[in-house]
Amino acid sequence: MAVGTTAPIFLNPLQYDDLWKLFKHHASFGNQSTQALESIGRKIVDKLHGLPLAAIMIAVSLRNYYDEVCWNRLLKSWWWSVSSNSLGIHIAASLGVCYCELPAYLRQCLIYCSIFPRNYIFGKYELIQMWIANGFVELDNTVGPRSLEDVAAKWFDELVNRCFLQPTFWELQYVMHDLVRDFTIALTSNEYRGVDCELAHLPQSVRHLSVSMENTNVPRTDYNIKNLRSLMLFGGLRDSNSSECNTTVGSLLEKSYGTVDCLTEISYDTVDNISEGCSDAIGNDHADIILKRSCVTIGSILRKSTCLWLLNLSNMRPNAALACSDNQLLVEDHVTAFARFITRHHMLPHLTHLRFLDFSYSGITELPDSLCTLCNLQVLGLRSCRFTQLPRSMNSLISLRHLHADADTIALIHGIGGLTKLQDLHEFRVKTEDGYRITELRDMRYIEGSLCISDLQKVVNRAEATQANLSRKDGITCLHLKWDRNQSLKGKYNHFGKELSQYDIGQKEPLHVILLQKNDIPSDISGSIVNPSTLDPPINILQCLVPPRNLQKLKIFGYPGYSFPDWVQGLRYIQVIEISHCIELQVLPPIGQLEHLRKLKSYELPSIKDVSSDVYGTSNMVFRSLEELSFGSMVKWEN
Amino acid sequence: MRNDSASSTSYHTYVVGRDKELAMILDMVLEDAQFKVATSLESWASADTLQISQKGWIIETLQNINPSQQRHEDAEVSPYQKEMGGTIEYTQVYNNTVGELMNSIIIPMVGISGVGKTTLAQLIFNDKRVQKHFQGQSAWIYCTDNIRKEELMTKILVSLQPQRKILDLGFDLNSLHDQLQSFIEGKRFLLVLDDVSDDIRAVWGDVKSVLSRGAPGSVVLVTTQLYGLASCGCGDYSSNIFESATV
Repeated sequence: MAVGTTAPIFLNPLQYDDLWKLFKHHASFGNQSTQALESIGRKIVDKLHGLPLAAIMIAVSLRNYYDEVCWNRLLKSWWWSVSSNSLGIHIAASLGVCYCELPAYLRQCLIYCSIFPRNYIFGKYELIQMWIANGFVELDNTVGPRSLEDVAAKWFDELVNRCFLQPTFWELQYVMHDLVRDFTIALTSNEYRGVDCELAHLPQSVRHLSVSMENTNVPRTDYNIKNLRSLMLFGGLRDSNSSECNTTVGSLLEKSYGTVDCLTEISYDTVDNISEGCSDAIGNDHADIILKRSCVTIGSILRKSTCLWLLNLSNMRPNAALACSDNQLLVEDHVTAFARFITRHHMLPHLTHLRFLDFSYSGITELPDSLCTLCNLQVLGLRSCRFTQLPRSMNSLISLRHLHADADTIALIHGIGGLTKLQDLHEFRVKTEDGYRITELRDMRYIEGSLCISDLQKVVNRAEATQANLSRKDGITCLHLKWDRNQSLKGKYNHFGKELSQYDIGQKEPLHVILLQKNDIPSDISGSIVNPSTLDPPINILQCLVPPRNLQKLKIFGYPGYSFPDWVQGLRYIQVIEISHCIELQVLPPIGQLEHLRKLKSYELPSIKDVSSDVYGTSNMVFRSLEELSFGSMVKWEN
Repeated sequence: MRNDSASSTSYHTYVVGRDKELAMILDMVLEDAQFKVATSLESWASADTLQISQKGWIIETLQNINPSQQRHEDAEVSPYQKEMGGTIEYTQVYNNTVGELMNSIIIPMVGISGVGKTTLAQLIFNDKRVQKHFQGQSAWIYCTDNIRKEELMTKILVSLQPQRKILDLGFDLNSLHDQLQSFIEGKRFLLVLDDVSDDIRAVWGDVKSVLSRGAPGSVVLVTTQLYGLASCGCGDYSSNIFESATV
C-alpha cells in the first residue's frame, strides 16, 4: 500500500496569443470590436505578463463599456507603473486597475472581506447581512422600493461578476482568490484587522476585527478599542503546547464548565485579575488555562467595545456548517464552554447597538433573558443550537430581520408575530396556546422565500386562518401546508381498526368531526379543551389560507379534506405543485389549466378515483408547460 | 423575491493554452499514465527562495509602494516566462520503473498565484469522463491556513459523502481517522486539495496514510504555489523521478 507522487505539473504564464484569446472571450466585445478598441486591448494584454487571472479580471471590468475613452483610461492607469523587484507584483498592478474601476459603494464591501481567513467560504446571504449590519448598504431611491437585502444582493452579484469573489461547487457559496485577498489586505487601514493579527499590537482605531481563538492565549486585558464595530471569532480553542489534540475533551469538560461558571459569577475586576497565577487555584489543566485566558481576552475586548454592531461566533468549529448537516452537535467541548461564557457575559445586555449576533454551531443550550433587550438586533443566528426553552420576550427583538434557527427553536418563540420585520421564518408550527396560534402570522408581511406552516389541524376556525393574512405576504414564493398525518391516521385506522381500502368513502361527515366525537377530544399542552363545535371542516380552513398571487411552488401534505378550495386554480404563476398523503381527498382541482405548471407530483392519495376528469377542467388546452408528472400510491385510481 | 446569480463554476472554466497539461493530467487520472520531467528544474527549485512563496509578500510589497513616487509612463514589459523557468518538457514513462503499484497517486500542480491552477483543476474535476471514472467519489477541498488534521479529515469525509448524516463526528482524532479510513478503504476516489500552503506539512503524514487505503487509481490533485512542497513535501518517490530527470 503506498501513495506515489507524480512529476509536478508546472503551469507557466500563458503565451501572448492565448492570453489575448482569453481576454477577448471575457471582454465579450466580439460584435462591437473596432480596430481602435482592439489595439488598446492588445496594449493592455501586453501588461498582464501572461497571467489569466489578471486578464479575466481586467476583461470583465471592461465588459459592456465599448468606448475608447474608458479603455484608454484603464490603459493609462498609474497602477501599471507599480513595480518592484518582487516577481509577480505585476498582478497586483492589474488588480489595482480593476479596483479603480469599482464603484465606491463596492469598495467598502470588498475591503470588509479582507478580515476573513484565507480560502474562507462566503455564504452569499451571510455576507450580505453582515454588510447591512455594518451600515454599508443604502437604499437607492431612484429605482423604486426595494429592500436593503435586494440592493446588497445586487452588489454581491457585481463583485462576483467582476471575479473579486468566485463561485465554488456549492450553490450560493463563494471564495476569494488568494491574490485578491492579499490585495484587499494591502489596501486596508488600521481600521481592519484579520485573523493573522497579533492581539498584542491591536491599533486603537480598529473597527472590524477577526480573531483566531488560538491567538487569544495572551494574558493581556487592557484593550482599549472603543470603535470596534465587528468582532468575528474563528477556529476552536487548541492547546498549542500539547503535541496532539488527542486529549479527550470529555475529561476536561467538567472542570472547564466549573471554570466558566466561576468567571461569569465573579465581577469584572476579578476577571481582570485572573492570570496564570490565580488560575492554578481553579485547575491545573493546561487546556483549562487556555479556555480561561480566551474568556478573559475576549471578555475584556467586549467590555470596552460598547458600540459593537456585529458579533459572530459561528465559525469557531472547523467545518461546522458541513459537519452539522443533520443539525446536531453531540460533542460538547471548549467552544461550547466559551460560547456559554459569552451568553452569560455581563456585557451582553450593554452591547445595545448589536445588530448581528451569531451563535450558530456553538453548542449553546440556553439564552439569557437579557438578550431580549437588544432592540437593534437585525440578525440572530442559532443554527444547530438546541434549546428546551427560550426567554419569554424574544418577540421584543423588534428589529429582527433574519432569524437563522432550526424549526424546533422557532417553535419555542412565544408571540413570534411581534417580530414584524422578520424576512425568513422557514417553518411555523401551529399550536393552540396563546402566542403560538396561526394568527401570529398576521403582521409578518416581510416573510419571503419559502414558508412551511405545519400542524394545521390545530387551526380552530376560519377566522383564525383568515387572520394569518397569507395572501398579503407577497414575498413568499414557496408555500408548504402541512397537517399532521399521524394524527389523522391514528384516529382513522388504528382507532377504528379499518383498513385503507375498506374505508367507506361514501360517508359525508368530515373526518375531523368524527374524530372528535368518537375519539378523545384533542387537548393541547396547557390542558385547555378545544370545543369540537367551533372547529371548521378542513376545506373551510384551507379556503382561508389563500396564498399570495405570485406563488411559484405549493406543497400540500396530509390535508384531511375531500376537495380543494377554488383558489388553487387561481394560482397563475405556480410552477410546482406537490400533493401528498391526503387520505380523504376525492377530487383533484383543475390544475391542468395552470399555464406555467412545470412539475406536478401527487402520491399517497388513496381516495382519488379519476384523475383526468378532475385536472382537465373545462379547457381543451391542458398542461401547457408541464415537464414532469408523477403519480404514486393511488390505490383507487380507476382508469 | 430572491434572484440568485448563476452560481456555476462553468462560466469561469474557459481555458485556453493548457492543452498539453490538460491532456497529460487526464492521461494520468484516467489511464494511469506516468510522465517524467525532461528538462532541468533548477530555476523552479530556486523560485521558492524568492519572495513569491512567502505568505503576505504582496501585502508587504504594496504597502511599501508610495503612490506619489510612481511615474505615469508605460512600464517596460519584462519577459515573464523566462523569469519563471521556461517551458517544461515531459516524456511519458511506459515501463513501470517504480516497480511497485501505487494505490493512490498525488498529482501536484505548481505555478504562481493567478496562473490558472484552480481553473484547470476545476476543468478536470468537472470533466464528464472523470466524474464517470470515479463514480461520484470525488471531493474538492479549499485548504485554509493552519489547517488541522481533524479539520482536513472532516472536510474530506464530509465532501466525499455529502448525503451522510454525521452523528458521531466529533473531534476525536482516532475516531475520525478510523471513519475516514473505513470509508476510503478499497474505493477509487478523486480528491482535490486546492491552494495547499506550507502548513500542510504538519498534518500530511497522517492524512497520507489514510489516503493510501484507497483502491488503485485513486488520485489526489494538489494545487500549490510552492515548488518545494510539490517535489518533496508530499512525495515518496518523486525525488527518484527528479534525480533521473536532472542527471
